[in-house]
Amino acid sequence: MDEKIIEELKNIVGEEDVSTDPLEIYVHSRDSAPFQGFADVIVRPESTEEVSQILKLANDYKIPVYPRGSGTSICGGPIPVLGGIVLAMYKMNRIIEFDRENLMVTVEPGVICDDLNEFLAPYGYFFPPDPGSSNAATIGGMVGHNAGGMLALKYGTTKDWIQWLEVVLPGGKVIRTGSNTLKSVSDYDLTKLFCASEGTLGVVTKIGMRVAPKPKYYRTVLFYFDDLRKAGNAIVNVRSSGVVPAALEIIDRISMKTAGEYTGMDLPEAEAMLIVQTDGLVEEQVQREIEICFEAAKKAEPIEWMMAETEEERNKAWAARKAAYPALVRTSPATTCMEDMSVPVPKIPDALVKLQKIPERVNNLVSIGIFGHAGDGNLHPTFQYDEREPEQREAFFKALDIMYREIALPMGGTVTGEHGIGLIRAKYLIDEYGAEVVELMKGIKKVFDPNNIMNPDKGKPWGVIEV
Amino acid sequence: MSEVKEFKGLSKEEIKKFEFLSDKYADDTFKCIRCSYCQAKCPSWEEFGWVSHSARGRIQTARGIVEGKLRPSEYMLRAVFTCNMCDYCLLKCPAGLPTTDIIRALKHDLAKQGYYVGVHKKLVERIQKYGNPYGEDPAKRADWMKEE
Ligand SMILES: Cc1cc2nc3c(=O)[nH]c(=O)nc-3n(C[C@H](O)[C@H](O)[C@H](O)COP(=O)(O)OP(=O)(O)OC[C@H]3O[C@@H](n4cnc5c(N)ncnc54)[C@H](O)[C@@H]3O)c2cc1C
Ligand code: SF4
Ligand code: SF4
Repeated sequence: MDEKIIEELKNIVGEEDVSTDPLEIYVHSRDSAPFQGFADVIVRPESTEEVSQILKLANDYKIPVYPRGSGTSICGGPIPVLGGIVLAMYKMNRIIEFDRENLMVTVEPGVICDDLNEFLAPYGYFFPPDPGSSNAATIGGMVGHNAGGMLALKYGTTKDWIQWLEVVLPGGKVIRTGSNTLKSVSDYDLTKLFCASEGTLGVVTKIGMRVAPKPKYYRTVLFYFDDLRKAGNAIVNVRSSGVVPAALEIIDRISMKTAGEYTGMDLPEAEAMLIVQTDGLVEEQVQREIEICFEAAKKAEPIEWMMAETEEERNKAWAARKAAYPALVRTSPATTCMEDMSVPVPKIPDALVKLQKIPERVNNLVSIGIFGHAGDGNLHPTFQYDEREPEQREAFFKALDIMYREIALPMGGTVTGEHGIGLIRAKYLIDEYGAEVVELMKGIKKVFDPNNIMNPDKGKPWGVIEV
Repeated sequence: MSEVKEFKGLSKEEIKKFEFLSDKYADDTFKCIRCSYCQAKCPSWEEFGWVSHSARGRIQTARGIVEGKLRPSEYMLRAVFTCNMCDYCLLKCPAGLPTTDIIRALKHDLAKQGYYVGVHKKLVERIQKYGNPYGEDPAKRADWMKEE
């Protein structure tokens, strides 16, 4: 990159907030997905005004810009594949205002999800979207991918809580979408358009969002099934019981085995484990709701169950689910990649059976463990392999083709429930929506970013590059 | 628009000299899923605010060395040696990586090849010259004792 541009960036943010050191470039070259790309410069803006000046400069010189939160994306979202500027939002991490009367909080994008909840807890509120990565993920990154989590069934995903956004567009113009009112239909809902836009339309610099009263009571019940179809029936029964549980999670046999070995827990031999949790402010209601869920799931003939009465038992019930991913990471030969697909809820058992067979179809060069948010059909098939071995890397990508093209999409599902498109899933979008819809999306991108500088050639299926 | 870049680091022979790191921890550096769980409260991240100076950054630095995409530099030394070995990252890592052992190996291998920071240089010189890190004359060692 031209030294003149680096100098201009230093003039905007100050010398100490610009780095071109190869080490800094290297540690910003990956997210949690198995791809890599090198920027020319990493910049740490501190204000909307600085972001605006950077986007003006970048637009004038047609330099790619990649907004970055904590880099925990698992799809290649923030990877600077075409060089250019990584806009690291680390310093824009202030909680600006908590309006207790309107129950809204205003934050900068670099605030970490858990830090926000720590701030809200003494007031009795919380921000419900809860990605497993909440101790690292930034609110900006959560908007970028519209992050969800275990509580999505009852509380929705990030976009359901965002009221308005301040966004800097390529060229430097600052806009504000949405409003402070709970209802408003006066626009095309640009707020939601930016949620999951993966930094391809503009840089989010302020976020206004609603908060919810923090539940006081929780009840949890755990079931084991000797047959995936029975587990599937239990999910359907719970969902149609009239209760909306806070969480309804599933773990398959392989993940259970790995998690059992990792935690030292003595888990029964079973094909699947289900966890149901209810929460709320009134103890009797939370208790009644779990009883209704319990009766509904029991009709599907579990082989064992445990109603967690105390907090200790609740933690025990969650231990295996929470250990599922770390256990797979620890037992992997090197690389672990958590994938993300969603199917209509009644299709979950079929999907699990087919997913478990994927390794055989690629000569067992990858292994798979599956867990996920059964209540909303969002599964996280997690692959283990060694990316240093070209054969295994190739098998991994073949496994993804099978998973998305032959399993998720024919079942009426989607290629990503919450992790985003980024690099890893871009090529499946035409399969999911068809060329016409993709053309429309391309048109939207052009309106916001005519020079294609924002996270270019990524997030959506044009000009996808292999890295 | 910029070209897709490649990063050139150490040669295979040079990597071998990072023996502690490459013998014991090469696989571990690849197991890091870059989840940043170790980053948020890493003291040197909080102080410097650059990823290179965080736990995640240091495990990635180790990977960069063993995969031949990084070479030692003054900046790298500062990034690595500002780790105070507090073990926060070790407690947080969901992959169960021996984070501080990896960082210790990185420090060890760097230092063994002569890459160390100014203050370490001074300590080594003093130890070589005086047999202690304080730069004090060993003959005066017992001076603190009063004569009876
Ligand atoms: C162990 C682990 C568990 C996870 N569990 C979950 C889960 O349960 N649910 C879930 O949904 N995800 C999960 N994720 C994925 C990831 O953590 C989320 O997508 C998270 O929201 C990303 O936040 P981040 O700050 O790391 O963003 P980054 O990875 O830095 O960026 C994500 C995207 O947002 C864009 N972006 C970032 N900041 C801005 C901004 N200010 N303006 C515009 N665009 C921006 C980036 O360009 C990129 O495209 C998990 C990841 C890991 C590693
Ligand atoms: S041991 Fe070092 S890298 Fe790990 S958290 Fe402490 S200071 Fe950070
Ligand atoms: S917590 Fe562990 S796996 Fe996650 S980034 Fe840090 S070292 Fe890597």
